[in-house]
Amino acid sequence: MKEKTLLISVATGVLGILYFVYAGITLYNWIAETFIQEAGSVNNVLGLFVSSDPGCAITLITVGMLMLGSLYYKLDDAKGVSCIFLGSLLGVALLVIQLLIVIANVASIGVSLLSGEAAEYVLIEDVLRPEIVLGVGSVLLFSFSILKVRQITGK
Amino acid sequence: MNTKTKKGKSKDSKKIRVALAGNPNVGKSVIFNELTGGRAWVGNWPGTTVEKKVGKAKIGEYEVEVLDLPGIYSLTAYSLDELVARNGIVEEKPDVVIDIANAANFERSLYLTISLLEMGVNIIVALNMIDLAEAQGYKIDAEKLSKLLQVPVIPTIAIKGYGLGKLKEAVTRSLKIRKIPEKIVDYGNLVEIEIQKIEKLIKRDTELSLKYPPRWLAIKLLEKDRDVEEKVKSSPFAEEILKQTKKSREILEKQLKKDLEEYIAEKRYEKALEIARECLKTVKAKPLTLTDMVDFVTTHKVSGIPIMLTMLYIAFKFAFNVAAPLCDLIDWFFGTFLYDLTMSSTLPPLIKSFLGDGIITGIGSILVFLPNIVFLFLFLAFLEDVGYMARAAFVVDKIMHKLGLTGKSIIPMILGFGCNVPAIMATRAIEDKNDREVTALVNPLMSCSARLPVYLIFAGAFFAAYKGTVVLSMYVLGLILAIVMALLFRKTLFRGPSVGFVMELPPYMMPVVKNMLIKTWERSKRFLFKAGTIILIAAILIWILSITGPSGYIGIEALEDPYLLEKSWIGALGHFLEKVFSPMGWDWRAAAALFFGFVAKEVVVAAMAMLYGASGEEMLPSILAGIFTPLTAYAYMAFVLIYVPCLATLASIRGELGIKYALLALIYEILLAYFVALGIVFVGHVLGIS
Amino acid sequence: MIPLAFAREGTQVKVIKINAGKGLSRRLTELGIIPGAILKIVKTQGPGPVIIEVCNSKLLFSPCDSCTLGCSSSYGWRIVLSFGMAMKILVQELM
Repeated sequence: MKEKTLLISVATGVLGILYFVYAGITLYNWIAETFIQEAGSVNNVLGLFVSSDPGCAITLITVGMLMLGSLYYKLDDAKGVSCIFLGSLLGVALLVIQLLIVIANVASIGVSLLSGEAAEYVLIEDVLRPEIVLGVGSVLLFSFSILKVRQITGK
Repeated sequence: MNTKTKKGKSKDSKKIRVALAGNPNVGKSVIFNELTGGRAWVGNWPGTTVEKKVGKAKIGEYEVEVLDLPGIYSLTAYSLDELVARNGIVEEKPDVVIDIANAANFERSLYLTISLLEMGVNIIVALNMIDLAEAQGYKIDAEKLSKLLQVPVIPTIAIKGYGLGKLKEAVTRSLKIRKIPEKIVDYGNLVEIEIQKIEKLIKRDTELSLKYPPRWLAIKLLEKDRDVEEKVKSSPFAEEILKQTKKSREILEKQLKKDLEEYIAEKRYEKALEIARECLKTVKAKPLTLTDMVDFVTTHKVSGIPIMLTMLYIAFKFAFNVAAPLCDLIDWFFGTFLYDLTMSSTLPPLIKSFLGDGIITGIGSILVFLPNIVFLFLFLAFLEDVGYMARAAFVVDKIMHKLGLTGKSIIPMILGFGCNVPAIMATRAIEDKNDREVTALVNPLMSCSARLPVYLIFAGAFFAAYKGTVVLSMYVLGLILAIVMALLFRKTLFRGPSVGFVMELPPYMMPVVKNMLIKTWERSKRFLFKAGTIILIAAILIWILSITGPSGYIGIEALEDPYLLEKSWIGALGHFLEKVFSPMGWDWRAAAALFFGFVAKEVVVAAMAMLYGASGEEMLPSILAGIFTPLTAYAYMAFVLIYVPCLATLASIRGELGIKYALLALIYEILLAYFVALGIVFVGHVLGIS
Repeated sequence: MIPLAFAREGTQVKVIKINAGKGLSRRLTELGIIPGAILKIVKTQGPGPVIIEVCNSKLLFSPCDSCTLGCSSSYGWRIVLSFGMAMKILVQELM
């Protein structure tokens, strides 16, 4: 049991840091694209698909913050479980929203076909985003956290 | 307790009425929907802005009219909601009142129950949320409660439909036999003696005694209840009654050494506690709940605000990105499909134009936003029903106060990004008058979705690479101006410390999808009909003003030909306004388009397309590039952001606050818009941008 | 006796006096905040709104002995009071 918790703690820590890293990249992209004329996003350089949306950065920071917070409060303590529960929940929410956006974009292509316009859509760009990639990790942590929550609330 | 038993009225002779009463957040609307199937007529209680919801239900063999009273904690005359609910019961005289009590917050609900019993109402208590109570570790003995209160008590879990059958049975039984306990609260010998004195005088007026229970009147008079005083004044014995009341109050305040109203309210509450104690059984010590755990994070000093921002972000992504294909679909349907269909038909040209350029374009311009608005409201309804909104208000309250607003202002602010009309209505929830008025007045500065097309066209034409950022800057500008104006208002016209708020934090609950949908529909409906009708009229008006002019009828060719258009009323208007806007470098067409934006902001783009002779809105950016410069374009966008709330919003402000405030909003926004636009152009020139 | 606004987080307090006007007092009474009521301070962050839980009143029990920081055997939901309100409610810290 103890080892399991240790393993999960490490996973949480890694995922949390990753969320922060991607948030940083997002912010960099935003600043680069908006304020500096010449520099573009680092996506091409690093082979990544990260957006340049500052709002997105805030959400990634929030999830990362909660995940690292759960380590601060220790995963066997109710406070730590609260952090991981909500953190992973938000991670899952971001995943779901991004998937919905992908579906919506595809649907938009369908609509523009109706009016006879040609349209292009690079699916992979919208799918390999941190919200989805890291979100998968969030789903796993979420299922763990639900077990922990049930333990604590005695349901 | 003594009880009187009366025979019920014959069921064939009159309409049967059932009213629902209870605290806010106890599940009243769930029970209402269960009884009526969600079909309700929504109106206002006469002479007020308080919502009145009425529905029809079949209970047993009766056809019943169900009246949903506002959520209240007691029956004083202090709050408008309570007064409306009270008068609703006393004047409309429902045959049965279902008092919905919250088992998870028992004593508080009992306070209202006792107040209702004192009023002589024929009630049934629906003890709702017993599952939550059990989860919190205690059980309520419904039978004992029923015996103590002398009225039927039905345990229910409304969300799951549990107990509703028995509730309906209890209603039918109560319709046949009324039970009204006589004395519920003993106010102590001193007070009881005085009550008797006043009661005796009241009983002399037989008409008054039949209309309202004398004991209730006596108690209320001692509580200095204004509304009851009015009711008594019309009695022939008014003078004596009121004189005795005054004497009694003086005697009691001297003897009790305490404020009489407070004393009476406390005694009532103590009775509620007494009954609660007898019926409550702690089953197990309450363990930590999920709500406690989630709240640890959502109200945490560090994570509270980021979580709120995340929710906000998700709300907008959902409302704009996910709804986008639906918007595109509607745009295609009206702008291409129907339009082409009309134009290629064999109807006479004038009719074709009226239908195509007037009506179809008009309706299309409204409906294109509907998906955005519905999705936004849906997500907000979800956050509200889950219970998160109260936490969000708590988290932002401190900051909001520094900005001249209050935590509860956050909801109207967010709604305002969809449409200002329901946002202004949402300000009703704010208790403090000044806070409410300021929140409503600055709300139009929140960029509603109607302004987005204007931003997109201009940003696309002049700032192509930075399009997203420029549009964002508009939203930010609106926000900054809202804060500035709020602070300004709070320091000048709406001075005074905030009265302060009290807000319940309900436990987190899985929202009931049906209720979410109903709430979303009601809000979207407001936008649709209020805004929709006005915009449609505007579109037709523009159409008429375009094809006629000071010299008479010009013809529909004016819609295609800018030179002809210049001769129309619109052209005349534009030229007049051009002089006003000359320092900003906007020509008569841009000025004329602004005029139409007054009616509804999304019309600006359509008007511009027409005025500049763009056959479609896609052509507009290239045409605009020749007329504006990036600086003047930015100033124009800012002007559209700020100037004048659209007609529908003005109507809402007038409806909620009164015509003075609507005029204030109109004037301050026009002035602010003009000076900000002027300022932008000025600063730009100074900095050497052109 | 201190204003509720200054009570420490996690403690239990007993309401001694309420310095509010008629309307406000009434609202508080309806929510169970009356002289003698026992409240638990759930969250308070310096000057700002306070989250409390209404535990028991003088009629029901004495301050619950098992009520430590983890206790939530309340008969009510939680309530948020604005800073201004919390300043008007005078309480006595119990533990």
